Amino acid sequence: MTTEHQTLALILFSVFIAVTLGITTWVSRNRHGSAEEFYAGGRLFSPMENGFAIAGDYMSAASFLGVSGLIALFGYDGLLYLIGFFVAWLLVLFLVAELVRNCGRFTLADVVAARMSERPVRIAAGTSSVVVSVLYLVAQMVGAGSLVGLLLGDAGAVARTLTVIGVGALMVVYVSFGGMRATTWIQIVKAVLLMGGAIALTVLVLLRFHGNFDQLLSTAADRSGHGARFLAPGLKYGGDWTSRFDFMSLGLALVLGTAGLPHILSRFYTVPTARAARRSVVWAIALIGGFYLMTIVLGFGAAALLGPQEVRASNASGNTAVPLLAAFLGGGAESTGGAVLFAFVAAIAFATILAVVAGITLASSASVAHDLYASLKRRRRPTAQRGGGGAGRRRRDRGGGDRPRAARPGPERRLPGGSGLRGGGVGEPAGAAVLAVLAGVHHAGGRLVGVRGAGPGGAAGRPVAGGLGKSRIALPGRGLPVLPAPEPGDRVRPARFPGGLAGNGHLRGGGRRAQARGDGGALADGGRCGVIPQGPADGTQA
Amino acid sequence: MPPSRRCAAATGGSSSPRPCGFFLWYVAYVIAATAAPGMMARPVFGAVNVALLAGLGQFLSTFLLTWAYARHARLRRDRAALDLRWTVFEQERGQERARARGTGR
Repeated sequence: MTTEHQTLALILFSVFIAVTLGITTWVSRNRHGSAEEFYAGGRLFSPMENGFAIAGDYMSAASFLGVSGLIALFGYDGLLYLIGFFVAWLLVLFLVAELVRNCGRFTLADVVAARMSERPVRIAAGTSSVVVSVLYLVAQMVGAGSLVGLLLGDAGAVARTLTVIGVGALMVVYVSFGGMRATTWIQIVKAVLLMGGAIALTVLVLLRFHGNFDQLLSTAADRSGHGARFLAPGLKYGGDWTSRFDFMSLGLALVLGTAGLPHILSRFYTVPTARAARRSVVWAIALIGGFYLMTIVLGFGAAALLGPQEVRASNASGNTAVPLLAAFLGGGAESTGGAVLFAFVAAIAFATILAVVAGITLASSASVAHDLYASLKRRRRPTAQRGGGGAGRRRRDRGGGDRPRAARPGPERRLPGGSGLRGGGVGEPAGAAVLAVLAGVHHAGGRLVGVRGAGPGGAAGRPVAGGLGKSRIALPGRGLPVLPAPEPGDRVRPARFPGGLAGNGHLRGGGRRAQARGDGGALADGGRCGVIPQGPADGTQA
Repeated sequence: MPPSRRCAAATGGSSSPRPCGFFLWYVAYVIAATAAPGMMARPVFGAVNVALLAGLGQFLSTFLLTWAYARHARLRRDRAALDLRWTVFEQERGQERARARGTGR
């Protein structure tokens, strides 16, 4: 690692930081200081912009560096992560995006609290958001630290700490002064950079092999020393049935968890209507899919051009595979081309981390302020008064029979054990970073269940407990059979539920009056949460 | 058919089977990858094996389902949803007017 690399990379880092601060300043010039603006960016983003932002939020360092590294080291098994991460978006598209936009105002807790007793639900949902965010943040910070460590070599221990502190401080600045608008634009910029960088690298890799993907694969397989087994599942997870179950559970968690991630959910509120939310998800899926396909090429390319041994030597979890590949493609680590490309890729990775941290910080601040603080501060009030908490003119569902008090999610709210978070010491080649992300995703899977299971008979406490339970099981997981507990709240609702919930359709049940909200444009697709059929008719003539 | 019914009808048919479908396909893929690595490792052409094709198949199915869903929603649900929205707005306005008239008396 020459000083040339370092200086160039540091310059690029600083350029990115300057650009993001510029965006923050520009955005905060015209601020009105409303809650709408802070949490939801004024709800004025277009589907394409929002799609880029969602994709930007999702394509974190874990995918760019971590999973490509996994593929470089272990071949096919890394691909399974990508597939899980990607297929998860179908769940978001079908079950979550429009629903959440219809029902809530800023956070997931709004959605769940629409149908159940408000205070305990808010506290539960808010807490789970914060837990997921913290887990995710730790992963990203670990990534930032390793990146800086890579850059500065062994003298990096102090620099790593300073980096983490610096990044944290910077995030507070972004979020406080810029709110959702700034973080969204930062995500968009970063998404563009990331896609650009990935496209450039992929093209270079394919050029090396003259467009022959087959040859890329066989070279990778040969170089790995495992031959054809490198390209088949099982190299990492196929050992014994314990690790296989482990893996199946992981596959489930990946798919179910994405839909519960708070910083993703909060991005459905930055668009005016549910239809726009759906369109943003479509954009995001296109971008993320393309990006993941490229990650596959990069992972196998790193295996083919660098060899897994070299990748492992640089970083045991493979997190540096892509930067090293970039250096190689530029003409070797010592040449200027290599140095430049390396610096760019490192800067993009750093930008990725910054942007995701900003997004998560904002989402968790929304949870803390909008859900937790407001709920804990408020004493129990008569239901007529709906204060803070984003209820607006929401009407309570009184028509549909009992709504049992949500159970206090008592002791299950312990933070899951930290084995996944011992920096790197897990002994798990996936790396602490990826594992912590997965822990967050496991936990978030429980929150998804909370969304679907909300309603009479479903207690708020159980989904949260389920989510925490999942992550609790998962973290000590290496070696324990890890099957997610069946979620009690996860029921498919029958079609005609009087005055209560809807099933899987967005528009179920005639004549629901959607919640009217002061922000306008929020009534879309008929609305289906917390609505009372008032008066003689349900509003429908059927 | 009143707008709400149209919406419900348009939705009910499509959203239930589809989520189950892709999920089952995904679960089948995961199980096959873990429990039947031998079958997955069989080469199909050149270095590409069944596993790689299955993985790419997952990607492809995801893209296709996304496209199909968006198209379906655009063609069927959106108009009905907008109609419903207007109906509800009108109702609310009517109610408010009635209420105002009532209190004004």
